[in-house]
Amino acid sequence: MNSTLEGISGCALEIAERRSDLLLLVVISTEFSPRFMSQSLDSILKELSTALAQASSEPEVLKVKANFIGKDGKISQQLKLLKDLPPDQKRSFGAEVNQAKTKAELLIEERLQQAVKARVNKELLGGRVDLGLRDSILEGGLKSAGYHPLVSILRELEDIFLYMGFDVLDGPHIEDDWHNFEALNVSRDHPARDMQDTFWFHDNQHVLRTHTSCIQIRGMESRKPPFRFVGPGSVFRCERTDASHEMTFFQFEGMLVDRNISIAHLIYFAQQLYSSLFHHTVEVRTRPSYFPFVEPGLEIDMKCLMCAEKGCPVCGYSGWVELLGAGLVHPRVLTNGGINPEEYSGFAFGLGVDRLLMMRHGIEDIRHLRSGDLRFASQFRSI
Amino acid sequence: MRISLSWLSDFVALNDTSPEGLAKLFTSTTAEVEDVLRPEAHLQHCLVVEVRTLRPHPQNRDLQVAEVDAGPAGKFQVVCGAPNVRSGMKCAYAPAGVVLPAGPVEAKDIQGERSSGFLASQQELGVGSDHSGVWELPAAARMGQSVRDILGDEHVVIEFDNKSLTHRPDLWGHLGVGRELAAILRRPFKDLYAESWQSKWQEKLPPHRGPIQVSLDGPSSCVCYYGLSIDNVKVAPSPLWMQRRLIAAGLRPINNLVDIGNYVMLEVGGPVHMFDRSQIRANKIVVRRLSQPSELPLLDGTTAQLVPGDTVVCDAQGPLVVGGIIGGLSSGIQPDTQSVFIEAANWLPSEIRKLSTRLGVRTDSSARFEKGLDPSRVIITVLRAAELTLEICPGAVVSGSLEYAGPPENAFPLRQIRTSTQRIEAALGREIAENQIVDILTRLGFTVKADRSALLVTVPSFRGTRDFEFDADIAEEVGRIIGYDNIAPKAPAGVISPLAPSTGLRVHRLIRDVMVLHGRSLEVTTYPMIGEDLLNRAEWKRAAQELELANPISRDRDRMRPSLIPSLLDVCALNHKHYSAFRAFEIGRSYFADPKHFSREETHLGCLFCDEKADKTVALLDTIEALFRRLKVPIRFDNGTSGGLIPSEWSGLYPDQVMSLWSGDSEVGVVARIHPMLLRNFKISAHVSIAVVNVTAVEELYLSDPIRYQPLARFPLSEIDLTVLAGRDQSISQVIEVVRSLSLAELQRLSVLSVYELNDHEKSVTLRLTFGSKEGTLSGEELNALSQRVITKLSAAGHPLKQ
Repeated sequence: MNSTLEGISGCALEIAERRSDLLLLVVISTEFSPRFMSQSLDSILKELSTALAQASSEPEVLKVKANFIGKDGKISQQLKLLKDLPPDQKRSFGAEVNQAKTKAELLIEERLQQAVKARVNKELLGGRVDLGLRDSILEGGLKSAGYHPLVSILRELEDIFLYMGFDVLDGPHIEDDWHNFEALNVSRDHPARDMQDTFWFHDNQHVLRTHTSCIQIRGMESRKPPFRFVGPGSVFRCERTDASHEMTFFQFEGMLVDRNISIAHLIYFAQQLYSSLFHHTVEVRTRPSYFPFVEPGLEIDMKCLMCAEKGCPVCGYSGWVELLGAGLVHPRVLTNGGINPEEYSGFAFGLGVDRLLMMRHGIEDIRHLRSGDLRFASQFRSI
Repeated sequence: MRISLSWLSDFVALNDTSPEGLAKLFTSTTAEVEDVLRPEAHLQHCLVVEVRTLRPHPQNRDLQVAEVDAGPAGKFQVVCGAPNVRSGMKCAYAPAGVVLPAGPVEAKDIQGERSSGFLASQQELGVGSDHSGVWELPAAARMGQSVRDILGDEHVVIEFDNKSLTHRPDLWGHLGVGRELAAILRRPFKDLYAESWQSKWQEKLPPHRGPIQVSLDGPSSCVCYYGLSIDNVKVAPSPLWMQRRLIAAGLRPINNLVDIGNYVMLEVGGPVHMFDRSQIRANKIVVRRLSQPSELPLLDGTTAQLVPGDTVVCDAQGPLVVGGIIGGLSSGIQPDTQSVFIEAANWLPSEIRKLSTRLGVRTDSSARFEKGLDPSRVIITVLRAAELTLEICPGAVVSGSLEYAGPPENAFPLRQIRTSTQRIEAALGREIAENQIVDILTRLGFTVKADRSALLVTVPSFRGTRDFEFDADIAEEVGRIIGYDNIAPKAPAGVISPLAPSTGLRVHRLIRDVMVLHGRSLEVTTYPMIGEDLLNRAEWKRAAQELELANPISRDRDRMRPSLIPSLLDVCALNHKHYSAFRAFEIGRSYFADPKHFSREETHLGCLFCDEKADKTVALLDTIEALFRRLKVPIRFDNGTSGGLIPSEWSGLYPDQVMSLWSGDSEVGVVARIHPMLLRNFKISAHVSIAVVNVTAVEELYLSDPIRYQPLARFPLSEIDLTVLAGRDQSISQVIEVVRSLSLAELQRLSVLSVYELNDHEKSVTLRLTFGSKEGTLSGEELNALSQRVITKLSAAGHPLKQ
């Protein structure tokens, strides 16, 4: 038999690591423990630990359980000793044995759980899957999915203006002469018709719209001022295609009509547009320009983000990217839209979306955008 | 439009303003300058040399070897072939390394003789048109001096973007640009051809009528017409200074008389036509509309097909000139021309544009007239042309007074616009002092009368022809000179009312989200224009009337597509080369001819699943079904199609593998597996399925109704499984439809547990019917009765219970 005090204290300390309040109780109880009996309990628990450590399967653990706390188990037998003890020791020794039994039960249950888990895990291993074999690495064609980059950037543009209270609308691609030209102050023999190469239909009255500015007329027809809307959409030019020219591209039109609208308001929204799009303040330059449907007409250029004004192919070596044509709506255009220019004024702008997109992603050839080639589209995948 | 700065300095002192600085200034206040060019930069490096010795080239009889002396710059040996080289002459030497208009000069051995550069002609140096020999320089020229120093100046050119000058006909000549620049720079404008100059000239002209009678015969596109006859001219090269200016402005020198016309146009902006007077029959010029068709051979070598109504300049016998556009071949300047008739006129812009477009003839003249030139300045054009002719042709004399046909001179009234400081401030969005406004407008040539609260602005004649009618036009003049960058951005006052995004926008976004996240497909954008070849490959039935373009770029894109399907098949063929399986979708438009509105457009969703290994039609149907659930548009599936989105007889349909989607009475979508034989036309060997949804129709159906909650079942549900027989090729949906047609209120759910093929013609289908009631637990009898009704109905429909 080993030293009871040390043995019990050791055991108590072990428990105390988890339950500090037990420490006192155990230490006090040893004062009254009969030396010979305590030594026995202590060694039984040690023996149990050793036996459990050697039992790895469920039946082995259950066998150990029977050997110690079963009916004739070693701890149960200790209880039988009780009756031979003097009454003054009966109580304290009984408590000790019960305590040892609880401890034994805990140890056995813990070991049993480990054994069960080990068995289940062993069974599960047979049914495991290879977590490396994910869909993305498996052959089976193109797996990516996503929005076309032009559509994504249009969505961003729309959102910027939706948050500022602008409606979003579109009109037909096949427009009549009135909506595409006449109503926009471009009469049939106006030289400005040369500014855009137009696809005509055989009736000589209908065109593929050359700009989204027709949406201004469509918008005015169905609204009463004050109003504000944007019009994103496809436009068409009768131009030979090359790396920087397309016969179809996207424009983003904007129009706001209210009382006393000025150039200062236009510049405000242009700055909002640029800084929301590029997430920081962008340097802009405003200069006069000519579009028949605005007066005054201007262009709001953005400092090139690719080259920091040093000159590169994106900005045509000018350091500035021409993205936005704008101006106050021409009085004749307002009149054509059923609005009294003496009472209301407004601004309008148009933005070339393809160019913006190409600058953002460093796309060198505009023809990729409408090629239908998924090697291009999949680079902009969402999932 | 190319403007030479040294020419420009005739009208305004440029001092030491740099060309780039000027370009920036113009861009920020007037119109976009595209480029600054230095076409004569090489002259700085070309040297005056004297030919010292000259000996025949030992190997080549056509060449000579010259020893030239460039003074302090040294002596050089050059090989030359020009016939006019002689020893002692001064000429221009282009040393190796200099870049001439035709390319860089290299030192090389020419058949054994070293040539360290070459002796250049005027044409090679880009200063004139002469290429008959080397350019002989004055004997007084100092050896080693640069050619640029001899010329005294260098033409530096700023090039305007022509489109940005569309509304500024006054800027289509150096004089107008000089006037504009003087106003911007606040420097004096040297108005060389002011009224004093005009009256001085008028006085100099002979008092008697000239040899040519001019008349306007009835209304035509001619606004007014000036003519002047000059005798005793001789055709020769024009002086070098004039040739250099023409070259700098982008024109090729021809001969003195033609060059004078072009020079005046580039200087004062008004086109001039020079007639060889001997070709004007019966000394009569009549401007009139043609009454009969006529052909006129033109100066450019083509022949104009003129029709009645076209305005022409005629002599006694017929048309000589297409007015304002181009001259006829016969009446132009000939090498032996001795007398000329100078025409300067003004024409209606819209008519010029119409006619030049119809004839397909675009000239410097028509480009200017169609923009609207100032009719009250035509007299300057004709007098300036006369002045230059007398200056350049020694011995030339004016024959007779200035001929004029047109309305009296005061028939071109100046436009007046009433505005106010407040209105200008309101348009620009900043405060501007009235005296600043008056100052800006006055500098630009406007006359301003301030009267209490209003400003009465008189528009100068040179600005009154185009784009000047409203006070917005005045605001623009003030705004651009102040500089738009000097206007502080301002948020508009006023109420922003909350705005619900339009149904169209919401629907399009929902569709895209479902197609990406559920359909796992990639969005594409394709051209809405397609060609006959693609339609043929898609075996797409041609519409009776197609929307064809009058001026397509190519046969591949010459008409509007009637469906997204041919485009999708094209996309499929392209990507099939790179991927064994892929999914793509597009939201795009289809176009239809419409008898009433010309055309009708529908927005469609097109989606394509392509897989080499397995057919994915069911997966596509799942996605489309999910899409409509997301859109909250209730639909039902139907076998076959009514032909609304895909023609029901389309050869591209796989037999019995097409389903249509219906909302009420309208077919809103169709999902189809594609026939392998059609795919062969596209060299596709894979399973392909396509869905098309009429998004335009869906936009109208979209309601975004809130979902109505149903109380959870309070009583237990009962499941009953029934196994019935069905034809092997029959669709499950037919069996399900039979049960649904009973409309049993207690049937909470109906699903398919399993399907087994029994033999060649039969299969078994196990259905699970889940019954329940809100009122209470269904009793055994009730359940029995319900299943009996289902069994009876199925049996009657040819689906007996499997024994």
